Amino acid sequence: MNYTRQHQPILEVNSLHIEYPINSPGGFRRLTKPAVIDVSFKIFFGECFAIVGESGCGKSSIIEAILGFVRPKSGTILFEKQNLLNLSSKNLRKLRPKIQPVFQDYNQALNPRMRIGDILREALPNHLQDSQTDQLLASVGLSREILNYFPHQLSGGQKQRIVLARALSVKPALLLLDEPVTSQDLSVAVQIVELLISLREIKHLTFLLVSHNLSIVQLLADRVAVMKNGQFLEQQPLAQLLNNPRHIYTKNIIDQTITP
Amino acid sequence: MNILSVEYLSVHIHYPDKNIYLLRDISFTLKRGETLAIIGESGCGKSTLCKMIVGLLPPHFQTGGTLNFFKNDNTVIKITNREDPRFKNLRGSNISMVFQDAPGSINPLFKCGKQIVDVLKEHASDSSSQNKQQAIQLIEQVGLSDAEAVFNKYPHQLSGGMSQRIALALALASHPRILMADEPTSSLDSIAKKQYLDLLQELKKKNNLSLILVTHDLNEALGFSDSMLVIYNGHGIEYRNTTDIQRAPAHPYTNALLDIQTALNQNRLPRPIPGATPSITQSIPGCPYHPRCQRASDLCRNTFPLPTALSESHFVCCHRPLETN
Amino acid sequence: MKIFPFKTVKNRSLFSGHVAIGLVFLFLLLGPILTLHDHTSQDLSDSLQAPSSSHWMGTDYYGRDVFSRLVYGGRITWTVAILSTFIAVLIGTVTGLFSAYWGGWFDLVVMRLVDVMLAFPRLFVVLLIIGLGASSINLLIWALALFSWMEIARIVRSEVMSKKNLAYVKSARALGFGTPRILFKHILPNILSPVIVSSVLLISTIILVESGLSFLGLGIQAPNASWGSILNDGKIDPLGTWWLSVPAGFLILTTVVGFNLIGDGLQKQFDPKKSL
Repeated sequence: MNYTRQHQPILEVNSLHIEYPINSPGGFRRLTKPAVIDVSFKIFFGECFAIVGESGCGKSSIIEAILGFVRPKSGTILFEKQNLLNLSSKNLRKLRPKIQPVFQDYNQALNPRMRIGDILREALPNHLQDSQTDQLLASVGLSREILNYFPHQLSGGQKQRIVLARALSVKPALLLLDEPVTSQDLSVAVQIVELLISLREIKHLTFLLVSHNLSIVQLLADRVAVMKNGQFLEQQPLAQLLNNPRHIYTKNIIDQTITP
Repeated sequence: MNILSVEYLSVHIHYPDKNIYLLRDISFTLKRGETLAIIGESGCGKSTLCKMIVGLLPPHFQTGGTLNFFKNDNTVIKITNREDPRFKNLRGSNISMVFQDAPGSINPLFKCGKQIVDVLKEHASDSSSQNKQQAIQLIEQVGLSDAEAVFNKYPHQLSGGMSQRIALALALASHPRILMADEPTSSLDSIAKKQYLDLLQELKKKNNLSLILVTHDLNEALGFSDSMLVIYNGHGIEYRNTTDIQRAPAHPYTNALLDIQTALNQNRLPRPIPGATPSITQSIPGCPYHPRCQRASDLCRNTFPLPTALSESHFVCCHRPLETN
Repeated sequence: MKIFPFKTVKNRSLFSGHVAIGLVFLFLLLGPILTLHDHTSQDLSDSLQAPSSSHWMGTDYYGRDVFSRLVYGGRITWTVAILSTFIAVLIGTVTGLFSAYWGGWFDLVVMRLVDVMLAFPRLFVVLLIIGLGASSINLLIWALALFSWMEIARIVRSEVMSKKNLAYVKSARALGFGTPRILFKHILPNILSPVIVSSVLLISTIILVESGLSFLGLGIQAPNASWGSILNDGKIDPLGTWWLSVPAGFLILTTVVGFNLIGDGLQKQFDPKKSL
């Protein structure tokens, strides 16, 4: 990574609006419910930007929009200066490997009918498959025996590691982490967080982290946005946010994070 | 004064070639008006323990050990066989449970109020008008405003947090002496979690309950319990009162968990426990924790550590426990 | 999941279904070896003979051997049923997959088409097609298939709807895989069990419809036989010429019940709640 890139945004989201259709009584009128209202942020190369908020606040919708699974009502999403919303589907598919998601639900993240080896090999070019899978496994701290297993034979932590390895197989620049450790046990969560921190350094990754768990966000994030009811309340570097929350809601979150 | 004591409880499934133990040597006592936290990682057998205590295990699970229920006059009902007819009578009236998937434990076809009234009817002989009053009181107690309206709503009309509370009201409707909550907060985010736990605490005082809180969140256990049982791989590895366990854990696993939590609370990156949690079907010779334990000796690798009492009401399953003074 | 090898035997409907279908299959397979008579050769002097040592199941009006007609008729009935089920499942699966995955106007059009086609009773529509066209086995197969794919399409569509938002499908899209790969490699293998169950049930439905058509004289045409047409041969005096009606009826019954039992058994077998 060179110095000049560091100060450039890898992802730039400008006044993003997302709405979902809802069923109206009788079903005649088309009603919509706003999920994301006028959200703008920039993520710079190599940093970890976190969005914190309660479930249902719209934070996952932002990830869905970046991945192109949800069409925003308005706004722009610039990835390395290209607006993802204007790309043809062919160009979008070419760009997709650059942005990889890691979802909360690790139990559903791997195709239950495929062996781990096939899952990892699937996105790799043929001639590189064997050497690359070994490297990928090593980078997430797993041994080769696992290649012959089916997903249901793995523990939660192992599954999440395979999800990471699969995402890394296409050499992404940006990882979208949607509650990556929330449903894991604490001791496993800590291992995954540690792995994320080291991968970010080694592979020069940029993270967009979405979580409601402030104690995990604290470990990873450089800058944090607090989101409520579809809107960003504030955006600050982590230390400033913790010491000097501008918004009363932020203060609540910090205080209510249970400490004995 | 005790209300429930459990001695050497075990649950296993019998296969033609082997027995798989889901729980082994679980012992603890629950005192009147106290909260016991049962803590462990997913798959360690916490939920099996709950199901065992409320008698919801499938018939092919074999059980062993003793459950002692203490009545108000301190007489003991000793249950050694789960087919015991007294066991069924104890459930509901003595002990009730809030399930992990609370919204799923409410019948979607009936109005919330009716479901609570049904439970009230089952456990009381009052007239139905009083039942309705009581149901509305219960809904108010669990912190829902406009109880009258909620009484007439169907479960799908409620939000997730609200149905969580209705499930709690249903559990309380049988006037239990022990309330067991299986991961009640795992689907809630931090603010809602705190509110729910505060509510549990308040209800416990108001209704004179003893509480068993099953959780994988150590902060929750430390903050809200009087004593703690730590389960690892189906074994109850340490049982003690919460303050002492937090000050001086005896089992290396308890110690490691506490270290992680302390580091997180102080916004430091914790040192993870090496290795992975074994699955219950794996049979590990010796102490189940030894592959991950830095203190492991040959003894740990070969023989299973039986529960030893380090002091009164402090059990630990470890050959080489940490200093606790 | 291989801890319970005895579970398959516990599944009684699957087991008895396999036995019934296995027996009928053996009958169809080994039949030609057992009989010396050609199933189409007539011998009017031998008309309507009761079962004897030379004609094990008697003869029909034209003196044709009923045993060999049951064997060859059964082969035709099975072929028609299996081929048209295969075509129907193929059409249903592909339309269901794309309908659910693409959504939008394609989904709307396909699903309304399904509704419209389901509104016609299958037997009468197929009857009409065969009545208007020259009756041939090919036409019969296609007519049956084209009016049987709708249930499969509906099942596939709803299954895909429940899978397409799962994390592994989303991840596959994010990795840049194309739609065919996602549909056939990531979604299809995970929805196969309900499709297999309903295909097996569809076979028995189609056997019933085909027998009905042949009984009405519109399915398989003489000199070829089918179980339905043999049943028809015995309809003037079902009790007097019982060797025409009873064995054919029994074979239809066994096959239909057998496939239904297999379908029910598979449903139980695939049920995820069953495993520990």
